[in-house]
Formats: sequence, C-alpha cells, structure tokens
Amino acid sequence: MLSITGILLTAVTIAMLEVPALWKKRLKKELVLFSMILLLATGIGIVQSMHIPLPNPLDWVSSVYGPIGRLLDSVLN
Amino acid sequence: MKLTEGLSGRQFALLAAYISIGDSMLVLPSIPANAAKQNAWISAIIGLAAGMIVVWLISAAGRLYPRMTLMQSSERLFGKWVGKAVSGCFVMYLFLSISAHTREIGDFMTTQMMPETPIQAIHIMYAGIMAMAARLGLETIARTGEFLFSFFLLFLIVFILFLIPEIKLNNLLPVWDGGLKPILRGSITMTAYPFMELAVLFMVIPGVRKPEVMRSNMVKGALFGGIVLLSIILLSILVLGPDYASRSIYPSYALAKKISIGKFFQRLEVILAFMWLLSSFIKSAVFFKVLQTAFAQTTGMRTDKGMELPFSMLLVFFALLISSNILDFHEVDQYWPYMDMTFSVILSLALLAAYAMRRSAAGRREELGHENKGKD
Repeated sequence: MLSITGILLTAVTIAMLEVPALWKKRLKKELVLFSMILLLATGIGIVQSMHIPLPNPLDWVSSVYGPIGRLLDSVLN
Repeated sequence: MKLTEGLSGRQFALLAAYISIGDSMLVLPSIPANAAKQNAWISAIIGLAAGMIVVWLISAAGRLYPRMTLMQSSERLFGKWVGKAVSGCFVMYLFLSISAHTREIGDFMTTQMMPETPIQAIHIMYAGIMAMAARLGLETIARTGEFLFSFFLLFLIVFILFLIPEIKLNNLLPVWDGGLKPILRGSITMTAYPFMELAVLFMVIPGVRKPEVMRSNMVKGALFGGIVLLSIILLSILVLGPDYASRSIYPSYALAKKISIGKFFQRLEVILAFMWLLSSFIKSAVFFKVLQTAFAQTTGMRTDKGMELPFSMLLVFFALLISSNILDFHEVDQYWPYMDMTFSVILSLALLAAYAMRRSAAGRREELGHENKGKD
C-alpha cells in the first residue's frame, strides 16, 4: 500500500513538474506521449509492487536471438 | 540559448572510450575467461581486432550523412515506413540496454558494497542522475567525462602498477590449450559489449563540430578502451588464475581486493568501483540522452526535452522487471551480443548498401538524363 502511494505521488510530482511547460507551449503530441509513458510507468510500478508477475521483455529478445547463440555455441564447441 | 556548438574531437574520442570501457570493465572479463580459460587474453586480442573493424563500419555508415541522426538517415535511405520501424527498434534496444546497465549497477552495489540497501533505492538514484544528465545535454555529459578522465587514468595506472607484484606467469600456461574454438567463443562477447555498443554514436555523430575528425577520434577512443579492457582481462588471468577469473561474477573487483603493498596499502577495490561507476555512468547517460533524441525524432516530437522523468521512472521498474535475480541476469550473455550485432554490424551494412544502391540508381538516372539531352 505504501509503495503504491509512493508511486502515485511520484507520478503526480513528475506531472506537476513537466506538464505546465508543455501546456504553455501548446505541445499536444508531446503531452499525449508524456502521459502515455508516465501512465505505463505508473501501471508497471503498481503491478510490480503488488508482486503480480509480469512478462519479461528480455524473454522475447531471447526467443529471437537465443537460437543464433545456441547455434554458434554448438559450432564453436 | 546555446552556449556551445557541439562536441570537440577530443570529447568525442573520450565518449567512445567511455562507452567501450563502460560496464564491460567489470562484467566482461569473466565471459572470455569462462570460454577460453587461460587463453582469454588471446580472445581479447581477437575481439579487439574484430572490434576495430566494427568501429570502422559504424563510422563508415555514420559518415554517409554526418549531419543526420540515425532516425533521419534511415528514413532517407530506407523510405519512411521501414525507416520508422528501424528507428522504433533502435529506441527499444536503447531502452533495454539502459535497463540492463541500471540493473548491473544495482546488482553490483547490493551484492558487493551495500548489501542491506534495497536494490530499488540504487535504481532510483541512478535513474535520477541519468534524467539530470540527459536534461543538461550531451555537451555537459561529454565535458564531465573529459574532466573526470584524468582521475580515471590516474586510478587505472595505480591499479595496474600495484597489481604487477601479484602476477604469476604460470597462470598463462598452457598457451593455446584447447585450440581456436573456445578462444573464438570468448571473443564474440569481447567484440560485442565494448565495440558493437558504440552503435549508439550514430546519434552523437551529428553533434561533432568537425565531421572530418569523427572517424579518427572514434577509432582512437575505441582503441584506448579496448586496450584498457585487454589489460584488465590479462591481469585477471595473471593474478587470479583462469579458474577463479571464470567463476567470479566480477573478476576485476576480486582483482582489486588482491592489491596489498607492504600489508598496509590495502582495500583499494573502491578505486575500481569508482572507475567502473564513472565509465558506466557516462555510458548510460549517453544512452539515455540518445534515447530521448531517438524517441523524439521517431515520434516526430518538436523537442527532445521534457520526457526524461517519465522515462527514468519507467527505467526504475524495467531494471527490476528484466530479470528475477543476479544469476538469471547473467543468462543475457547468451544472446545479448547478437542483439548488439544487429544494431551495429547489420544496421551499418544495411545503411551502406542502401546508400550505394540509391547512389547507383541516381547515377543511372543522371546518365539517362544526359543522353536524352544529347538527343535533343
């Protein structure tokens, strides 16, 4: 609970620090992207702090590049 | 308001040196030592030679359009959509690399120096200073690196000199035991981690004040970094012996603990930790700044400032997400070099090939144009 509060507070602080400047300059696309990344970070953070397992992005990398690695290892063994 | 106009050649060379030394200084030596045992230094020499070819390739591709970042040149060469796809993949590669660097710092600090601190605390501080560095810009990062380089050099010389009494030449024997294959296996990572990750400089090249000095400085910096890594690998085998060097996660840190001059000049491992933190920080700060620019240019934002904090927050969680523990994390060495290879060697070759094809197509069109004019 404490960590979720902390994550939300951080997200709000970051938004308060950056949004006014973007708003003043009327940078709409930047605002949308900013909120998307911030929401993604907050979401991942909350899910992680509740100890719900998330997919590991490196597993996807490994499924792409792993076979090449194993192939080269067997050639060089 | 712009106070400076880009990077000097020297700063660019130092950035290349920092990136090639980077995190490799601490995590790399055990990998060739694991594959090639006492012959790891031969792996390192082969890796250094191959690395120079990689650097040459990257600078050749970067020289095609010296005033364009990778996003702009790939869009021009591959067309809009393929270019955008390449840029998107590059952004993800950058982000994964930074997450891995952050995790390396976290793992190292919590296992070796501050075992009671939660790893998140270290990630948060690291991500925080990276956001700060990226906000201040590439020139600030480069000047920080330039300023701290003399300390880096001093500590490196102290480190190497004090280890010379601990050397046991017997550790190198038998030379060439086991043949070429294990040596080559060790040299793959030695080429990938220091030199292929220089692909990030694709995005820094437009910031170099004089494009004509770019290549020589990049080669100089990478060569310096490679020689530092070679000497650290050689020292880990000479001092620790191949078995210990391959079993330890941080051989160079174990190496630093061996320094003992007259039983009172001891515990110099913090010097090594300082050097490693410095080079890793400059490396990941450059990566982080480049991530901002790459993301902004891929999505068509008008400014590359302002996204640092959300990205650094995402980074804190990603650094935890990418692996469940330190041993699991070392699995990345099985496939990470090939990802580096995609974004350096294959990407450079693709850029060069596309450029050559466009050139010859344009040349042919021009020739046709001349012929037509002759007929008129």
